This record gives sequence, structure tokens and C-alpha cells, in this order.
Amino acid sequence: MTVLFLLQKLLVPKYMDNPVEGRFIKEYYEEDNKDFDVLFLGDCEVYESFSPPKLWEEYGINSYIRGSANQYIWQSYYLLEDTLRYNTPKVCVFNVLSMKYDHSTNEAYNRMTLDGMEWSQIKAKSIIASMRDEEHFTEYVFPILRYHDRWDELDKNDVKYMFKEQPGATYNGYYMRTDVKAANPFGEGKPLADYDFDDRCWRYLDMIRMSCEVNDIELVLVKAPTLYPYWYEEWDRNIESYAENYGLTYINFYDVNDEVGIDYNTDTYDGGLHLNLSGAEKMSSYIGEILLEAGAEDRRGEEALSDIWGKKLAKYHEQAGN
Amino acid sequence: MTYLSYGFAVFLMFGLIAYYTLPSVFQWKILLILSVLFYIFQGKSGFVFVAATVIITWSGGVLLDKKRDNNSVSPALLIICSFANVFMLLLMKSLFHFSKGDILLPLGIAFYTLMAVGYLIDVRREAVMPQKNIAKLALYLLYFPHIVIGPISRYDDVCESLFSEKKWNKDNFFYGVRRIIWGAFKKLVIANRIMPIVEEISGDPGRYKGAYILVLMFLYAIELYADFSGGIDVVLGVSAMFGIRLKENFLRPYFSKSLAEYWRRWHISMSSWFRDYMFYPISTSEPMQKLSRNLRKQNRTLARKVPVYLSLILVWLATGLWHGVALNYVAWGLLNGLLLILFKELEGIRAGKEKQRNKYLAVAFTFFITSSLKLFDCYDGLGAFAAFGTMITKFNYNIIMNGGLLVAGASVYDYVVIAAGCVMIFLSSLAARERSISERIEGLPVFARVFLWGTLIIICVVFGVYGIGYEKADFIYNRF
Repeated sequence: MTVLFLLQKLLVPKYMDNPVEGRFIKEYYEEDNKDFDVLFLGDCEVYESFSPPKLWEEYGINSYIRGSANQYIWQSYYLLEDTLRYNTPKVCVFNVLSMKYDHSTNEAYNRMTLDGMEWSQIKAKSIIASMRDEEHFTEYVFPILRYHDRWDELDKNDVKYMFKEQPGATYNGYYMRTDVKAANPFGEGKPLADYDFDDRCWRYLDMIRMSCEVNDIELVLVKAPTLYPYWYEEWDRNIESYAENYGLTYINFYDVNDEVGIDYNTDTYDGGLHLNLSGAEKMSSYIGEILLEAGAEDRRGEEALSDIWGKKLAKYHEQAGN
Repeated sequence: MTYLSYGFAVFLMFGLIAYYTLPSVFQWKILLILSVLFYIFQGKSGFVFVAATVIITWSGGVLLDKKRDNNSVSPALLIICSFANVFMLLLMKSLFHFSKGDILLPLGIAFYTLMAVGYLIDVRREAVMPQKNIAKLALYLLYFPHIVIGPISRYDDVCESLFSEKKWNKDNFFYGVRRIIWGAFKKLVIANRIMPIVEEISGDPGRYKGAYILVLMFLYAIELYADFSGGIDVVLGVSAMFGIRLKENFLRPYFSKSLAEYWRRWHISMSSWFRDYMFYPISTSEPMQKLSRNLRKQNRTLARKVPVYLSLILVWLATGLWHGVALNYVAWGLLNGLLLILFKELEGIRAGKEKQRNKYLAVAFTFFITSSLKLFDCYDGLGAFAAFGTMITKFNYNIIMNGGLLVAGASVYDYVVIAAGCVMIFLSSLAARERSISERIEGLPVFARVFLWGTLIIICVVFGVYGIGYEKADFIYNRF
């Protein structure tokens, strides 16, 4: 059993190189102070579009992005529930792009979101909700059964980080990219036969909303201003209706781009699919006021928290080159 | 739910708990329930066919016993019941073939049909008492360890064990565990690793020729042995855990020095079934005796050999059809029969004293022949002949060194693991000639036993080919 345990530690992917996104979810648990006022949930549109360091610097907002690649709405719900085991934020920001997925499309994305979660009943439910037909719950419990075939692609990082803590890949869940690649026009999306979201997605959106209500969290729905995947007007109207119905704030960042100031020639690193640091800081500058109105507080007066952020900001600016 | 799946592990665990904790008088009924559930969990819709076989075979057995003294009714009953079972088998095999797999074969139909027909013949011969309890007969036919890939158990060999009450026996249980581990090693580490390479090469005959065919032959020979014998190890292991010992189905077949010997060591239950229930009855039948008498007037040697050889060809034709109602299987069966005849004739030509010197050559030659015959499993129709022919016409043997064998995602590491696995099987087979490996290991100190079996488990877990993308890798003989 000991040997199998050691082999498991060796064989599970460490995500030190591409893709690094597999490390994001786990990093939350390494925070000594999880007393975040704002929680962001969602996929890459969230962890590339908002900068918690910028929110702290400009507004004193203590926030965390529990984002992961292609995070599905049910995974967002369970991450919210998981977060509530440690802390009750004042505001929850949820990016609505994942409403278009009614089932998990890729086992690798499942793994990158789920493997990093701490074991609990909530994680088990998230796994069951996420598993594709070819997946087995047993392989989540014993990851060696899933990753055993990595034996012929092991590298030095697999040995180095068997037990050693890995360096952080994000800044409170924000994944910094400073490179620039101007956007190419994608054109409009092809017409769909049905623009309504699946019942499953509506159900989980309700569950997120109700969990926020029960825990006195202000829910803010957002749609990041990425150019792809195409966000249909009909989808937007569906979300607007929902938000209006339940008295929620919904911000479609395409609609307020004049105020945000996103320049698709300089604020994206991959031609418009995701924002870079410049874009994320503009988004954060914009949303900060809204978050304060929603209930977040300016906590720059808290010494301990300021110390923590001081260290983080030093690294952040060093990497940003400013 | 295959034998090497998480679902089956849970199924087996609950089955064993029920078997050994509930009153032992219920044990055979628990096995029957488990067998029915296993059949249904496989997702096969063919339960109606196995139910029909159970009813036909049970009623046939009971009636044969009642009409035993009626010399006109009894043979007719046997023929009708046997024919009904065989008809279902051939019908489903044909539908499966001509629908290109759209119509699925009922699980285990090839295996339980032979068991059913063998049972009826044994009842007629008074070799066994007919089973009056239809549920018990159903258990014999449906018994979940042997229904999928055999062995083709004779009623007489298993009935007492199946229906008797048993206490938990530590030796049986752990023998079973060890057999399962060994079977899992062969199947997961070796067979599953070779499978994509074989499928790639055999799936594109226009592209892969010459040396590829030679490599395919040997790889498939290893794959089929590892898959089938590994599966049988798991079957025997699972059955042993319930205190029921099934017969061995493989006896180091690749150590055979002749094709005839090979068929006494490979899929033993099948070859012995066709020998006992087809070859002997046909070769000693009145028409064959009449043929022999007629030939004796011309040539005594012909009189002795022709009926035997003719019977052999008929049996091998049947064996081919049992595997599949398709040209490649018919060709395979007939070739086996013809080669057996040819080698039998050549045997007499070689001097007796030379046999010892050529032992290793004989083993190598037999391996080559049996591997070549397995090509018919890889190609439709008579494509195996064309593929085999390219070994002579296309000289591309540099593929062995220039990376040409790294097909279907296979890496050098894969071939290293395959080679290492083959060495392990070869050495264990060598060691098993005098005493079973299991017995040898059980004679070692505890720490050595734990180390060996623990290492094998780790090898299966780490080097096994299973999980995402390999779910479809059922045992090869599932499809029969």
C-alpha cells in the first residue's frame, strides 16, 4: 500500500508546464487567510478577466477567483459550497458563459477542476455531476488508476513535487498573461435551432442563487467581453430576464466596453479569446465600484491583511514588469 | 461489466459475502442469482436465447432419460434438441456476421451451446444422470465465471462442486486471488498493450505489408494467448473463490512440438469437446465404417486413414463455424484440418532418432504455423492469404529498426514492456513444467510471497493498459 501511495504521488500530474491550469483550484486551500469578501466563479473568462491584486490596490477589496479551465456551472455551484466550508463572502461574481454547457465535454477539464478540490461530500457530488460515461468514481478516489500510464512521460517536476509544495501559479486565482496579440474578427455565430439554455443549467443557476440568498451573499452575474465563444443576443436576453426576475445585477461587459475601455488590439493575448493583464486591470477598475456597492469593503486599514497583500503585490508587479 | 472492471469487483465482493454468510443450503441459488444478474448487467438482450437453451436442454435431458430404452425416439430426441441449440447458435452467428455486428450475439452463446449439447449427449450415453431441477441446469449453463470465455465445462466435472454446500476455505480463496492477479497481468499489461498495434496493422492491409505481417503474426499470437489465458486465469480464480475448481484450458501451448500437440494444449476444453462429441462419434459411425470397408477392398492404408481424415476435416469445419459463420473462420478450420493431416503423414517419414535433436526447431516451427493460422482472425474473407503472401513479396524488414513499428501510438517503452512481460510468462511457464508456479511461490517465506505478489499487483496497476480509452477492451473470446 505504501508503494502504491508513493507511486500515486509520483504519477499524478503536477501541471508545472502547459497546462498550468490544473493547479488553480488547489491553490485556494494554501491561503492562510481565506476571509475573502468577494468570490469569483467561472471558467477562463473569469481567471483571465479580473485581477484580485488590482482590486485590492485600487479598492481594498479582498477577493479570490475560484476559476478553472472550462469550469461547468455545476462545478461552480459545488465550488461555492466548498468555499462556504471556510468562509462566507459578501459578494459572489459568476460568469455566465458556462450556461451553454449542459454536460461535461472533456475529461481533462473535469480533472483540472476536480482533482484540486479537497475531499468532502461536496467534492464527491461535484464528481458525480461531472463524470462522463467513460469515467469512474473509483479513479477519482484513487488517481493512480487514472494516471498510471504517465510512467513513460515522467519528468523531474514529477519527482520534485511529490511532496514539496508547488509555487503559486496565480494571484488569488488570477492567471497573469502580459503578452499581446491583437484580436482577429470572429464574425457572428451560426444560427442555432434553440437558444434556450438546458434545464440542468437553469437548475444549477437557481442553486447558486439560492445558496447566495441563504448565506446572505450578493450574487452578481457577469459576461466577460471575450470575442469567442460567440455570446448570442438571445442568450443574453435570457440571462437579463433571469437577473431582472430575481433582482440580480447582470453586467454584460460587451455593453459597457466604452466605459471599461477594452482595446482589442492591446488588451488580449490570444487574439480576443482571453484578456491579458492590461485588460484584466481595466475590468477590475470598472467592477470594483460595483463590488463595493454590492457589499464588499475597503479593508486596506487591516494591518494583517495589508501585510499579506503587500507581499503578493510585490511579486505581482515584478512579474508584470512595473 | 467485464471481469476486470470496477463494477465486477463490487459485484464479486457482494456475491462472495452473500455466498459465505447466508445459510450454505442457499449457495447454489445465490450462484444462480449472481449468474442471472451478471448476464443482465452485461447489457445483452440475448437472455431469451439462453433461457430457450436452458428449457430445451433441461426438457431434452428429462425426456432422454424417460425414453432411454426407446431406440427410435431417443436418438431423434437427441438430434432435435441438439439441433435446436446449434441452430440458434448458427442463426445468431450468421445474423451477427451479415449485419456487420449490428445484431449482437447473445453473451456466451458459443460456449453454453456446446455445454448444452455435450450434456444431452452425456445423458443419452448414460454418462451422467439428467438434472431434474431446471434451476440447477440453468446454473450449470449460466454459471457466470465460465459463460463469457469458457472453459467449456462438462456437466460431470462441475455438477457436484456447483451444487454442494461449501465452507469458506482460505486456500481456495487466496489461490483464486493469485490466479486473478496473474490473469490481470497477462490481460492488462501484455494483451491490452499489443491490441492497438494489431488493430492498426490488420485494419489497413493496403498500407501494412511484408514485415508488418510477420510482426502482426507474432504479436497477435502473444496477444491472443495473454488475453485468452489471462481471462481463463481470472475465470478460474473467481470460481475458486467460491470453492469451485474449473479445469485448466491452457497448458503452455507455445511449447508444443506439433500442431496436434498444440491442440491438446490450447483451448483444451474446446478441442476435447469436438474430439469427444464430434470426431469420435463421426469417425466410428456406420457411414464411416462402411466407407472403410469399401476402401479396404482397394487399399488397407486408405481404409484406415480416409475415414479418420474425413472426420477430421468435418470436425475442423465445424470448429471454424463455431468461431464464426464467415469465410475466414471456415478457411481457418479447414486449414487446421489439412495441416494436421499433412503433418501426420510427414511424421512417419522422419526417423525417430532425429526427433530429439529437432525439439527446439519443432517448437519454433509449430509456433510459426499456429501464428500464421491466427492471421485468419485478423482479416476478413481470405485476406490472410494475401497478407501472408506479402511477407515474401515485400522486403521491408528495416521497419523493425527504423521506427516503423511505432504505430497506433506505441512507443519503444511499450515494446520493452511487452518483451519483459513475455519473458515473465516464458520463465513462469518453464518453471511450471514440473510444479505449478503458485505452489512454488507458496513454498517461499511469507515476506518473499508478499513481495512477489505485491510487485505483480503494482506492475498491473502501473503498467496495465486500462481506464479512459480502453473500456472497450473486452476479452477477445467475448465475441464468440
